[in-house]
Amino acid sequence: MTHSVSAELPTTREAMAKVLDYSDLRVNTRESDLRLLALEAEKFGIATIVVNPVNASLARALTRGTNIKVGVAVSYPVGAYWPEDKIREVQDAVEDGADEIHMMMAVGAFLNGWVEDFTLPEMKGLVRAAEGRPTRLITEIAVLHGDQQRWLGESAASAGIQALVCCSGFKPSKLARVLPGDVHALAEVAGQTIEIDYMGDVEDTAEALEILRAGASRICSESARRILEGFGGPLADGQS
Amino acid sequence: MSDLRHSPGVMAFARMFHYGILGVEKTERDIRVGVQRVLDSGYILQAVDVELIYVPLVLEMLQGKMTVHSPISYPLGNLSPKKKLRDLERMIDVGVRDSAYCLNYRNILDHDYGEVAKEVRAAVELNRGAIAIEFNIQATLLNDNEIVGACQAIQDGGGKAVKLNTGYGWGTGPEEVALIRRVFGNRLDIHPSGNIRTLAQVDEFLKYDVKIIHSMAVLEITDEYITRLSRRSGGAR
Repeated sequence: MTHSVSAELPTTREAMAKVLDYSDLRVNTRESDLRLLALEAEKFGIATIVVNPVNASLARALTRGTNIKVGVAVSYPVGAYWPEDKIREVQDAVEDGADEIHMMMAVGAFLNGWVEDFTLPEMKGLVRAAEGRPTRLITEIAVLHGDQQRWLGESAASAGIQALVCCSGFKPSKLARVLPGDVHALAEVAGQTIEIDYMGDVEDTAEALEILRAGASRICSESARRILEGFGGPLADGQS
Repeated sequence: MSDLRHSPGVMAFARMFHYGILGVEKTERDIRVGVQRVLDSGYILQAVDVELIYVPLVLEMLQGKMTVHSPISYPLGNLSPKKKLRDLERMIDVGVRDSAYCLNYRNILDHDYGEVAKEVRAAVELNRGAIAIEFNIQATLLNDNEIVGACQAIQDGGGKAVKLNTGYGWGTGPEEVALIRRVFGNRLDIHPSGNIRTLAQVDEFLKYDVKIIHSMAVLEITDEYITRLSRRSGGAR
């Protein structure tokens, strides 16, 4: 699915839940946080949780017997590894039970123009190592200009990657926060060739809707509860 | 002041510091500019810290004048144990001689110190002394008991040094250094890191016999140190 300005925005909690991935990629995640993540995803009707590689096996175990899928954020949040190392990391994630792979690209290498040695091999390697699982390439559009964004979208799509994720949402990063306007600009240049996703903190339901309106197909966020509460009020723990 | 710049005392002061050029957006140009800045200063720092993919470039630029440091699973400690150990092997192969190994912080927060020690031991055994490893905890996120538990696990696993934070807003205070020194004496090297920007901060750490400090502001801090020395020598005339 690629960007379409005519795509309908969610108008119910259930519809919004379908375009959310529920993530916990924090530095201070405890086992209890992962348990709650899995539990709430199921209760809220969110299909996928996204976790760090070190938590992949646990997340898999916690979701056993449910329909919740486990996405693993490989090489997150810096991504500055050689492609062969990233491919092995994807293989690890698959072995640990990942249903989807979200891979942080080597942004610096791409900015250097190291496309043949880094960017293209890591894209192709991601798809190959994921063995048919959905793949999402995380970038940082805050440091990319339009032509670079367009090239990334086309190249990722050609490699068989399902979505280009516009930012890592890594909070302590010094990079500017990606706003709905930035998502729109990315969707304008790359949205016809590849699905555009958003990753990171979202202030509220209104901002989530703005991000979707701007052209994002999915939002991967720790803020899923807050986003859903905009439809019908507060959610109690575990309330659907 | 120029006489002081390369005096033994100033050189020894600068020698304590790591200078980091790390981050997702860092380009070859950023690395070249940063390393050249260090070289132009004339100081021989403890190490220059870069992401793994830039290690060959920095080795070439430094020509053995300083150690190249690269962190493992930086800054979140979130990569799989297998990946971390492969990165350690890779670092040994490419010529890194100093690394910060970011531990799985979940194990610390869940008080699973046996797992922390296990992770440390695996790295120590694979490393076999090839690289100086400091084990990174995010002390800012931990209470005193957790800091002590993590350090004990590092020691139990055979680790020799603890790095207290990774930067990115997670910084070290002297109270954390004081706590570890009080409990562990000199059995564990303590490497403060994160948001260290001034000589006054460094002064606080030095009270606890710290020998290695990570700071992107090393050149500015050393300038401050020179200014202080200059004032003192001027005052003596």
